Amino acid sequence: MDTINSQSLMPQEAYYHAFTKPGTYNWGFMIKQKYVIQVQPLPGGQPNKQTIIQVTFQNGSFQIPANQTNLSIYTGDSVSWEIPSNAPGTPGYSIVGDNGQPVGSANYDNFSNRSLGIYDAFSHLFWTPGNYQYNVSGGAGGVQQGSISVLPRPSSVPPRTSPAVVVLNDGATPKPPNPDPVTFPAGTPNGTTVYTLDTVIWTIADGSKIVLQTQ
Amino acid sequence: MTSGKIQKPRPHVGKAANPFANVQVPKVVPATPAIAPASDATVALSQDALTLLVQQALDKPISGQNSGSWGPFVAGYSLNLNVSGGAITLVDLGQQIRLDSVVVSGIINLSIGINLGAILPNICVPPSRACITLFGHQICTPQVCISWPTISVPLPPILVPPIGLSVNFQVAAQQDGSNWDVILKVFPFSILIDLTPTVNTVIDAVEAAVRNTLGQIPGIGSLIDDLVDGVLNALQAVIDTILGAVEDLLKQLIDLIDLFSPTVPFRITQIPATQKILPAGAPGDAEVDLTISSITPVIVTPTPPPPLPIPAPPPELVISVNFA
Repeated sequence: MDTINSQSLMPQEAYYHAFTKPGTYNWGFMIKQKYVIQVQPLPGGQPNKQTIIQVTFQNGSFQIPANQTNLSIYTGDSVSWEIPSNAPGTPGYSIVGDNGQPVGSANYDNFSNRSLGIYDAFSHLFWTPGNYQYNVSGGAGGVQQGSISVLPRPSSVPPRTSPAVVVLNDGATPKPPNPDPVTFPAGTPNGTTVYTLDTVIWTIADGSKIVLQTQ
Repeated sequence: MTSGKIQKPRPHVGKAANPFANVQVPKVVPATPAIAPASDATVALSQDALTLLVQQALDKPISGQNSGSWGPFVAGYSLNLNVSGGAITLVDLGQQIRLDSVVVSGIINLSIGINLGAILPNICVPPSRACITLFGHQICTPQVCISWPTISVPLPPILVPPIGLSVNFQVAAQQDGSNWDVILKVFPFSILIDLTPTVNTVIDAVEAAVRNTLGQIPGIGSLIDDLVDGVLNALQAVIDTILGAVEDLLKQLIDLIDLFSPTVPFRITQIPATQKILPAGAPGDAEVDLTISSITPVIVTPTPPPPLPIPAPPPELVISVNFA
């Protein structure tokens, strides 16, 4: 069985953060470090885009490409942290960062996969079939529960072109994970079933300090 | 590229099983039976004594190890050989010494390492990134690519079956500084060692190891057969070369046996060139020495004195010494 833990990212997982406030963000692995993301106001008429930071684990430490240690993006853009390989021996990791403003001030903004906030997302690629039960904790609604049934992928079912999406709404008006159990939308090519090698993405529509964990 | 080391013979620890011959030996050219030349002195060495001398030189184990790399494959191999037996026959026709019934046997330990990443294709799941728009932000989920490991395949020990060796030597004498050496010079011979029967064993072991390794990688179940075939096809291209390297080491080790060295003659005995005849006596009465000017080793079959009806005794190695 796979283990899902949004606090400890593994190679088959990714953490996404959408940057809504301009500023200079410092970030790092486990703790805030030297890496920088410069967020500038989005020029008019320009679409948002995603920047992928590919993390590798070499010589006992996490590393990123040299040209991404000081990244420049626009408001509304998102950044995805992920490990591109399933190389054995890679430990779990977390991404932590903020824009350096006083905590609690109107301009303060931070991100952390250990504590998912609004518009953050977390994805997991399922390698192993099974019936998964998971908890959503930390939000206003107490511990919410969800489930996924992952079947072995038949050779006749090609890889999906989009992930299954689960919306978490655990803010002022908590709601259970939607959909539960996790399925692909009705009418999706090759059905609604989640198979191995499918990706499920959980996105936070409302709430903060959200943690996802398999039971 | 290869690298390795060969250890000199160590004390004997085992005996070989029955041999089968697969050695090419040179033809012995018949010649007129020899008689010992006229000389100032002679020394005779019997066939049995020479056999004992040769057996002592042979009866010891020998080992060596080496390694090499061939593209994505690396191989490490060690050989442990036992050499035993040996019986000398003195042949006065052609003045040769024939050595029969030497048995070489042993064990080869071979392991093969495979860098699967250099053979197998790059496979990513999903084949392309899956993208979706969430709250106005388009994000794409990760594409996880498989990191093929490097694996080591230990193989069961390969037995070197008992190999029966028969070789011929020429007997000769040469002066080495202040000594005369009676030596055996081995006639060139080649040993035919064929490890091709082990090919299937190697391939089966590699297939099992690769299949086991790939079977533990999730998500590629339907691809495993083709991936294993890819590795085996690559191995087939180099397996003969790998086994050839092992055979080469085997030959090198056998050449390392003193008696079979094509470059360093095997010394039977050594005689000081200066022989003390009378020790020094009173002052003015100096030691009396004789200097050996030549030594001629000849294989001679003694002729029984007539008319006694006894069989001829076995040939002897007669060393004729002449003084200056």
